[in-house]
Amino acid sequence: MKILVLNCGSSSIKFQLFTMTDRSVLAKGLVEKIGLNGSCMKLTKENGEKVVFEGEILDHKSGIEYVLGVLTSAKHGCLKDLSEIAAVGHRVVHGGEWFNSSVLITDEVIKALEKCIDLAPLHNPPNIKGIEAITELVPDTKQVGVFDTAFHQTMPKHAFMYGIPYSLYEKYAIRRYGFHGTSHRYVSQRACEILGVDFQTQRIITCHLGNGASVAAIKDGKSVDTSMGFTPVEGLLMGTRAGDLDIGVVTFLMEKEKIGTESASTLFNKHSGMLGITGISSDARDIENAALKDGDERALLAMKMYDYRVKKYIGAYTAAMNGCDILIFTGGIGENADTTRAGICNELEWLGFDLDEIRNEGLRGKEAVISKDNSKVKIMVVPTDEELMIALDTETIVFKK
Amino acid sequence: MNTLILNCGSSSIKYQFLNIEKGQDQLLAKGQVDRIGNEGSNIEQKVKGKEPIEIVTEIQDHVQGINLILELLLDPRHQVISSLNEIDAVGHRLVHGGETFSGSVIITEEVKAKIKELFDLAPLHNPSNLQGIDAMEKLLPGKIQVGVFDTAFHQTMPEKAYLYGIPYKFYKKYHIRRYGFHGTSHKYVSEKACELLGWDISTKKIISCHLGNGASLTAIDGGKSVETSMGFTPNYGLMMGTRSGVIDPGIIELLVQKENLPLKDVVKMLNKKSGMLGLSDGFSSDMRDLAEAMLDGNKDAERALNAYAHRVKHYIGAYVAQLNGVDLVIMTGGIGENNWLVRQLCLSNLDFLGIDFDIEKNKGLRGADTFISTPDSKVKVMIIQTNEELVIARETVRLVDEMQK
Repeated sequence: MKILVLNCGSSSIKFQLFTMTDRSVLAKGLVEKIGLNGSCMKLTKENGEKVVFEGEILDHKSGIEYVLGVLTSAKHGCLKDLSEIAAVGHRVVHGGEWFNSSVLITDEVIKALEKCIDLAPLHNPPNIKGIEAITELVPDTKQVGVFDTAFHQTMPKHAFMYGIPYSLYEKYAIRRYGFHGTSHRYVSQRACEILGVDFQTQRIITCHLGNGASVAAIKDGKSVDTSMGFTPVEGLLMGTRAGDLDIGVVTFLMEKEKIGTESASTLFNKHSGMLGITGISSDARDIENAALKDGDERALLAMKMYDYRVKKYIGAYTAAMNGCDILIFTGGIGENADTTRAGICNELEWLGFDLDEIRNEGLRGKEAVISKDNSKVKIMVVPTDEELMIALDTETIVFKK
Repeated sequence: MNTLILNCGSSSIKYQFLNIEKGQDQLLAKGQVDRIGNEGSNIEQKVKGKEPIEIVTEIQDHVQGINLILELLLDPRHQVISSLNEIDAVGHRLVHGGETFSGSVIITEEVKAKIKELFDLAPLHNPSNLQGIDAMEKLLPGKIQVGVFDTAFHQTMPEKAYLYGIPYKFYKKYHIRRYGFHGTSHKYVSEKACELLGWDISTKKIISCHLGNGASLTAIDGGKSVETSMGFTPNYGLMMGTRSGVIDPGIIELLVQKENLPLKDVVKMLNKKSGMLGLSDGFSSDMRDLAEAMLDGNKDAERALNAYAHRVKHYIGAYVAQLNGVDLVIMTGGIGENNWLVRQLCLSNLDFLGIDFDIEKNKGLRGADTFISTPDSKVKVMIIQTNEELVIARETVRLVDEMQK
């Protein structure tokens, strides 16, 4: 059985085609710059061969049409016919309080997704476009929505409420939602599989450290807290996002710099975080190079700030769960940056986190335990695979329910 | 040495008159001027063992207010002093010392100019603090005045803790960073606890929770503040009576757009209508009311208190991680000292952190310097009653003594 996974952004579409029997990837790729100059599609075939197709791609529908066309083409394709695609799974960013798990897409679901647009004005519209395109192009294929927010819907009220008037929660559903749920769910389950422990009895802290970054506390198989909030800007320091911020800073800057809410939002989402501190780059590799090779002080400071914030969340969630059994690093930085992992875990042994420097050093993109044998808490690296998780959910919902 | 300690707000002046002598500090009088510049302005003064004096009269500004304070100190009914010469020095609680002041100072023209430079950072507080200093100069010219800053104790925080994740240029341009507040209280209770325990503070790791109408936690390593939960402004960190504490900045954008409110109204709402008051759906900002209601089964109160405690726990855990351990957790401030239910919600189920909370002993306990951890607890937990005025008075005496040496 073959399942296509789509992740439609505002001007891009990521896709992966899975063979579910062995979970292998038949093809994957990216459509870029939709509706812009220089739009193109990049394909990586099963044998690793990479092909780039250039051409005008005006909207999501034509982008997906292009993808389906290439997948069934004689030269570069891997499908004889589109009917081989058993189902399509979509990454959907925001499910609000409507969705606490993945769902089969129906007209009703689409209506609910439209209601969530207010909560994710940048992300939900392209997600919906992707679903509509598939409905038009391959009308009989079942589709499943897998939400970034769904896994965190198990958070208790005391964790998801902000200290603002309750009426604003009732009126606008302002609360903590959290994101990266599919990744937090995948790596926490996968870690338990590797360790041979029961997911339903563990206290796990997952650090998804990519360009966006969040920490989640998972107790007995349920997310009970996470660092991203109403929007993805809250919590950790990120590539270009500020993370936790005093509202006094927001209003002070708006007044002094004479900017409105939109510019302020751009400032805290696009020009802050690691980029803002270093003035060099939002890329963790560039910053590490600048810090460790060139001795750039600001880069060094940004790295310290980054590690320190993650560390504080690890402590906070250890307290909230009254303990921790497994700490997991994932995401581009979490999987690959040994110095960041070491910086975060440095001097955390009082709480039971004892990193093995040797196991950690040089480890990139591989599943591994990196704590010392006698560490009270197991520390692990588990590369995330959100697309596989989406494919698995899609398979379960369409064929096993 | 007799010290008059003043805490000048925008429309109120709190004061205490203290005699500071080694080993036997004495509170001689305390009082408050309220509603300055408003209708019904008044002053009340209390002296132990005597009837309080209350006067309702027109008080237009801080000069009039302080003048009344001096008159009441001289009032034969209270007999606090018989001549203004008996006031040896004046100590002021000053809110914001920015990055300029990392300790207490004798007030000079230069210091006043610097406090003025900091108006931008504390537009509500520093101007009234300075009005108090100026009024005092006018009324008692030549009297030594000392300033003790709320922010000074936290000036030892490392860079990685005090910077926000925003473009660095804003730190350089506007000094936007975390300052933290309640420093005088955090310093006092941590030192007091070590004194009671016979500990050398320079070797200890302490987390102090100042839970009052405003609330903050501080991580203290070897007697130095290394992290605190309030930020650039006091509305950061914990939820408070009417302050939201940390929220997603995205919420501000949504409220400005959806509620069509000017930014300053949103800020006002987040400072005055949020926190416990907001989360309890308008039930109360007062922890006593909320705790009582929660015990009676009120769901609004329960939701607010649980969210409050959850945040306190977050910070305790975060600071244990930052300190890589903790020897002592202190509860102080009006709520920390007196509200046993809040303490229980914040401190139970933390045994993984070595905190073994004594639920039975804690229950009903108020206003006593004592342990609330079990005797076997790896981490000690104590209630310590804060006394910011006493710290200010002692700092005042210390600086006056140094100057006269």
